[in-house]
Amino acid sequence: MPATNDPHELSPAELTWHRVSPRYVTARLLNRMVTTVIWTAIVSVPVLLALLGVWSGGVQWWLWLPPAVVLAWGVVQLCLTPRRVRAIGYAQAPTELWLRKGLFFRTVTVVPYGRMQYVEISTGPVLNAFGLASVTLHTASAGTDAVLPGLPREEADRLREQLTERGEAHMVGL
Amino acid sequence: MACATPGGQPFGDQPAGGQPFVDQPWADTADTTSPGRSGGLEPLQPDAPDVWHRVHPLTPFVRSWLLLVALVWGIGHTFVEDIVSALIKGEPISVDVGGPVQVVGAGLFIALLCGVLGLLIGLGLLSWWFTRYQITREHVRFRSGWFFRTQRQARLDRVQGIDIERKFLPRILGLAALKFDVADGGSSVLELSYLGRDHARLLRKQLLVASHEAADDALAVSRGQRTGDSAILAQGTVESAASADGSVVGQAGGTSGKVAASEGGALPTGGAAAHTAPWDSSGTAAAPAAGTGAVRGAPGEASIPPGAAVEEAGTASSSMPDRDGVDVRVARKYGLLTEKDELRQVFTVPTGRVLLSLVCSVPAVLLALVLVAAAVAWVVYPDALLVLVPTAVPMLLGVVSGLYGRLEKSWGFTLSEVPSGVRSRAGLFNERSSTIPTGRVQALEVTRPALWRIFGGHRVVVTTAGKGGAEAAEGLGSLVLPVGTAEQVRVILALLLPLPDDPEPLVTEGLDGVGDGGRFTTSPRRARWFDPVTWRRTGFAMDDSSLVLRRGRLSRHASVVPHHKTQSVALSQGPLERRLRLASFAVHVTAGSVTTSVDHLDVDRAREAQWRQSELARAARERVGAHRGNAGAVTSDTRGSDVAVDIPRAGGPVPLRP
Repeated sequence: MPATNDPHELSPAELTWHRVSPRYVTARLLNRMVTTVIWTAIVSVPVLLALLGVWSGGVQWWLWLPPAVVLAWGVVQLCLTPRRVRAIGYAQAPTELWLRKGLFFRTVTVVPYGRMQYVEISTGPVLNAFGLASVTLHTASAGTDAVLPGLPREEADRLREQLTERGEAHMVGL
Repeated sequence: MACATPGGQPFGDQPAGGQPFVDQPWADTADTTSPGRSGGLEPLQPDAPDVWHRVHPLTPFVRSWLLLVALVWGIGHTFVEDIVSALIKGEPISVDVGGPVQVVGAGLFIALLCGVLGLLIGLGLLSWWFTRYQITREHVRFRSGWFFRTQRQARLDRVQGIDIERKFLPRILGLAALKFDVADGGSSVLELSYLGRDHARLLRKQLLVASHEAADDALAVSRGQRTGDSAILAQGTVESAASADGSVVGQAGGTSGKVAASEGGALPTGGAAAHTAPWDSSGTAAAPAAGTGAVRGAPGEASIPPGAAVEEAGTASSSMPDRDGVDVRVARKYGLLTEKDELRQVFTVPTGRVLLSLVCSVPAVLLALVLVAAAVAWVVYPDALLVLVPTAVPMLLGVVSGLYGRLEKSWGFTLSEVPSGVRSRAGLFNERSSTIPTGRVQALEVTRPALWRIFGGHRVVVTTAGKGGAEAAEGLGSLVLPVGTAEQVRVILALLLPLPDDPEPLVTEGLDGVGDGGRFTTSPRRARWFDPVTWRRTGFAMDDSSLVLRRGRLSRHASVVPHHKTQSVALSQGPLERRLRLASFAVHVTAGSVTTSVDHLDVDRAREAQWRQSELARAARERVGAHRGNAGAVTSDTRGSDVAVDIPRAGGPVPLRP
């Protein structure tokens, strides 16, 4: 069995897929960089203590391991971030919303408009600085993990309006 | 449905002068109406807002009996140990009263003991003093706690059933608790405990009638007010969730009706009903609420219009064409009002089968194996037991208590039809019950454990909207058949999932079938790397009404999810699955104990399944919407179409393999 490299293998090709904003790549990169730096700093404490001579016994080679691993992991994540963000997408079908995400662990979710209980827009300081917002769809099921991070603010608002409108139109009780 | 409000905020509605009028109904047990006929039932006198009743004074002690036992044990166990060991060794009994007594002296020690006992009794009485209930025309309210005060309330018109709880200790003391099953009630049920038994019986009858009347009133109100102004009222109760920087929005927050009902706060069920209001057919409330961001009714205001908007939303969104409350007329007709409002007993699980099912359960088999191993060890190497027994005892206790839990849940298990759905009850010492409204069943799973195949035993659990995990764990919750025959499974399917296409043949095939032969689509052969044993069983099938998933080789499972109950559908794929061109398929329903996913299907089949399922689910939703006469859900398709749509769906669904 040949492994396919078709990135959209899971998602139906009949739909027009939209991606999230390219600016979200920068936001995610920034976010990831900050967390990587913080974590590296935290796990470097033993090395620093050894270097400063607070710890007797000199600088053992394995003391470098934790920061090295964390840093390497962070760099790999940074390299993958653009592809990760490109993997996020959504498509508006007549009666349901399709969402996809994930690079290694892929998910394609269909949420019928009539099943949305409410649509939530949220944004944080970093996202806000880039003029972005996240749209979360809530259904009665906790399993529905439908988040669209990093949409431009206007698009998020438009999507929310549309989803709300269509949700009303198709709503059915539990 | 209710939450504690820490901080001891004073109750607002007490008269300033001092104590509200509180009567003590447990005291006048003169009203011992024979539970025979309901004909001479005097109607319930609704309480004024400041009238509260107290529960039985033994209540705090019955509730915290475990604490009392632990206390007595803590003080007394050293003496008991001394006596027991003296008896065993044949020595004269000499009780070592221990250090504390020698230090402070016997007299002072006894005085201290009495002091502690008195304090406990005082605390109990204090807690009893603050435990009160009230029954108004619309609500049952229950307050407790003197430091952290809690108020729970249930709307009478949403009450689906009232049960008299029979637990062991209260039963001995002649007490009873009333348990209210409330639609949209969130995770917990309201319990009025404890009352005198006769008073509880009388109150139950009166409340059933009152609940019926309240529901009728609500229906009348909602019919009268199906106009725009009610939607505006509803808007006042919509609590929008604003996000961190205040930018936003949502439709109504909260999904399952878990609304904080603090003093004077929003109605627990009213709030939930208001959440559904935006989606209501007449729901002009939604768009403005969403557009303007947070519309936050002050908690006090939210509870004001219980007659209009909330009721309107509640009944309009209720899943029954009429309503799913207690139908007292039917109950009265059948003479059921007196003890239980059950229309018909569907079946009772015979005791023999319950015991058989326990013997053939995994913990019992483990227990037997451990005992055999212990016996062998004892024969071969007697000293080993000295080491093994102390370590094994906690484990054995765990196994035994697990078995006992199962026994409690299946002993005398009876399923009955009630006007709103089915009711299950079971219990050896503590009888429990649970009402499952037919329209709220989201998914159902039939299991046939490996060892039960000997006698053809099946277990059935359901996922019900509004009944979360917590209640499922403590009550009977999701269990509708602890152990039963295939015939009983068929009966349950017909009762709980009355679908246009009977899912029974697919469920039977889901339990018996192996491989790709029948209507089921199973994992391809290459999935054996993931599921070496079960790959030929893992699969799904769907008809126009429901999706049936099957899994498990030795213990076999088949889950049914009606299409019109599915929330969303997801495909997922990890890196290894991608190498093998496999994908997993999951249907999302409300939280519960039914598994609704199949792993490692062929990726093309899984994609087709997702597409097809969403098509079928849409059709099923429309069918149900049309059936309910909910004009909004059907005609609104035209409303939706003026929004720019990315792509009209060309062609039909990709057909599945036959």
